[in-house]
Amino acid sequence: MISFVICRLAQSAGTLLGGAVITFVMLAASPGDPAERILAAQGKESVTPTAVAALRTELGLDRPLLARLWSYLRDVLTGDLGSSWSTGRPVIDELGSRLPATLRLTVAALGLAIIASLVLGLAAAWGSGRLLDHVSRLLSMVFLVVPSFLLGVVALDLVVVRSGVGVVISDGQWGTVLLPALILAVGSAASWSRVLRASLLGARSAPFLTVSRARGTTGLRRLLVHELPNSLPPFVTIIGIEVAVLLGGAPIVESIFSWPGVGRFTVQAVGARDMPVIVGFVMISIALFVAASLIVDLVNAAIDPRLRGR
Amino acid sequence: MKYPSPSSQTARRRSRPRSAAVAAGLAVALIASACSSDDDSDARATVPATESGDSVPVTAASAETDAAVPATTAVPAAADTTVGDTAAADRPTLTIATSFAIDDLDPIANSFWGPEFGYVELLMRPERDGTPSPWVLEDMTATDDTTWELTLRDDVVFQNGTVFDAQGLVELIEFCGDNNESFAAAAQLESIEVTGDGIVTLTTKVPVPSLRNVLADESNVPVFDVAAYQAHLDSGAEPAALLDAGLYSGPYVMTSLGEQSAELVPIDNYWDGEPALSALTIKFVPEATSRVQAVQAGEADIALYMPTVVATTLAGRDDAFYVTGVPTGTMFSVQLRDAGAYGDTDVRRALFAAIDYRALAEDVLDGQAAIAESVYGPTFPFAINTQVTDLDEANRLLDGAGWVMNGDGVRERDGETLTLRLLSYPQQPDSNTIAVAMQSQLGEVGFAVEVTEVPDLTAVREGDEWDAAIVGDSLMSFSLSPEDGLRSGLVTGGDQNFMQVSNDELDELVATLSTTFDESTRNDLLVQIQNVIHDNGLWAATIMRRPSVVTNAAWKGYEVPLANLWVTAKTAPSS
Repeated sequence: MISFVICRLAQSAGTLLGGAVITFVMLAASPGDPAERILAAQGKESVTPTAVAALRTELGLDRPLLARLWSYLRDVLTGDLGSSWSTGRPVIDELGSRLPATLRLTVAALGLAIIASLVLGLAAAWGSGRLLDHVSRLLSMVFLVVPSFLLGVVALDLVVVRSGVGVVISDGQWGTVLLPALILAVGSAASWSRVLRASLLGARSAPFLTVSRARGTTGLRRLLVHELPNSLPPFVTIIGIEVAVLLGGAPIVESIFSWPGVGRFTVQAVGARDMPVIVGFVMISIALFVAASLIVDLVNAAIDPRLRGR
Repeated sequence: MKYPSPSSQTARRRSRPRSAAVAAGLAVALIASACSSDDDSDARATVPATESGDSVPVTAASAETDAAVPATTAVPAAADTTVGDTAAADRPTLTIATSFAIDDLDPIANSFWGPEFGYVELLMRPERDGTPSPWVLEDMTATDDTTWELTLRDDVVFQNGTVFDAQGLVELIEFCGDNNESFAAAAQLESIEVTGDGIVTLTTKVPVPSLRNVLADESNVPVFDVAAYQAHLDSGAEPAALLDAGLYSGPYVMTSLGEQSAELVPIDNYWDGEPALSALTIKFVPEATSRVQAVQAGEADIALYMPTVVATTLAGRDDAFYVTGVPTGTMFSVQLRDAGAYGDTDVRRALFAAIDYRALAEDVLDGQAAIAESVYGPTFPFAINTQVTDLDEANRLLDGAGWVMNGDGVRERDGETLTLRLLSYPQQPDSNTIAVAMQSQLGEVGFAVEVTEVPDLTAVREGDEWDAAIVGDSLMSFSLSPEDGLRSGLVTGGDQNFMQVSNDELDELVATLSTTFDESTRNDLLVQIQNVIHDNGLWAATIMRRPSVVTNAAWKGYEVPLANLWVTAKTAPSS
């Protein structure tokens, strides 16, 4: 198990490095001038060529790409993600101050998605082939195909603006997390419920369930006590993988709901071509994804002893 | 398309008791959570921050902000003795949603936000006719071409209680001259000294007729307590500490500043009367849609920086209103490079004559912009109407220049097509709308217009793969000086003369204007300058932008101000 963890950590470091290099090069190759965007994003009324040139020099944008990349990677290895070009503050501080809000949103969405997918998946499997199954699958299908930005905009208008429930400008605290978390969760919940349903139906053909049925176990008890535990590993695995999807969806949902998290800040950074912030966000996302995958592997090993030796 | 709400999903599951119990419990908990947050928000928006003469209510407002925004720096009001008053509860509050965040209260780096939101003042105030009026100064008079006498009001007090006197004014201008390059370049300071009771005499190295405008520009000389700021710098404290330094003299003092919002309260004994608001909240919301929805949901009274498309989306609604002001000279211009086919004056004039200025403002932008009949805004006494749509004239000029219409309706000369590579950019969404409309208009007289949306104005500043660009700009400075735009954008070698135009007559007129004090002579010069611009096809405005905001019903009568001075001591809801 220890060698497994060490191996995964080494892979994670390589993934982080690769992600940083790819993001850095892609941003450097994209059109537009970061210095000009930054001055505009700061609300300066007139952006003069002199000011743009001075900022370019200050940010080192007049240096060759490889030199800039090398400097950046060297700093990253020493734990320095650089400073935001827009605000001048260290990227670690900028992202760090916003990370709790994003984690609140993601955790809430994760919780809602798990609960909703369990309810939908169990309902579909229990009433397999009947109305409950069809309704559950229809809901899953709808939530899968409707993009979260559309759902968010519509929900904001209908729920907050027209009905007066909730807030438009979220403060990033638990009190205002419901609606954005719900929007962030629905796509994942739909996807996970489908996986759970398929897994539960697959588990029904296991021989031990024949024995359980022969012993007169009720349908609901069979579902919850025998089928569900044996169906959890694929369900847990996809949750781990899709934590990245939740994080990836956070910038959109955070922007729609003015949620003061890392994702919204990164969207603004993309607009301003604030490269240190963008690369920092990518690295944090990769790190969280890798950590989530590792946790999932460990949880799966705990749930299913057969996986511990693999 | 209809989306099932959590409650409707709950209803569907009601036939299964255990599932229903789980879902109902979850829904009740979550809805209760949402409702409580809504209540919090309402309380924050409506409860006056100051209810009595002490600082308790201020502290309460700050504490709430603390709970809501982790990064907020909250302090007791700058000087408790100066903050709030007993009548505050009777006064309205105002919550503004704006797109730009205020980073800190540093007077050199970030004070330009201050005059906009009522916590910083300037020496002079911009006016619609282009001639600033005294603000913190009582009078400003030129005694000769390079000497100015500045008379300071005798009742201005900083929020920390220090009186702003003549010596403070000298220190302020000297400090800004030493630390603000653009101010130093514009003001050309030679000397400054106290020469009487509340009187300061300032000399410049060269004549600077527009010095009043320089002092009315929010980026130049914010009024602040230099000694207190110097003490802050010497202490090595973080910029956040400026929150309780009481550096400024505005009617409102900031009591908390976070990444999401800022809270301000009125000060007692403000020199220009009692501030009209009991509390001012500024919310930083980069997304335009969210700012509008914040007004609709009652979380903000006024939303700033509105795209014109918002006017259409709000038509017929009674929860938010698109309110426009008088155009002040901010516009979308046609930057036309003096190169290739467009090096020919007749072709340039033909292009400008073929633009349908009325249609751009009234049809394309749905009346949300004013017709650009002049290159200056309509409120300036020197503005003359030089921009006239005349397709016959355009055709005549192009015919005369040898550009012949081919069978496809495009003009050619010696096998070369009269192509116009027209750029727009996404930071100003209307620029692309205007460019596409102009493609159609110019096509009527034979221009083959290729519209390209570039990522930003770098292509204009540095590239040569373009003939024209639709740029959001103005010939007026932020403080409405008519010279600045001419000097930087149209004079030979100007630092923003990306069109590479060069006209000796214009250069000479602008040079004369830059040293002329007499108002009547200046106006005559500006008329001549506008004629030269027109006769040589140097530059054109496509539309005049109307400053706009979105308000709720209570603030529907809000007068959109000049130079973004959104909040003053007098700002209040009006019918």
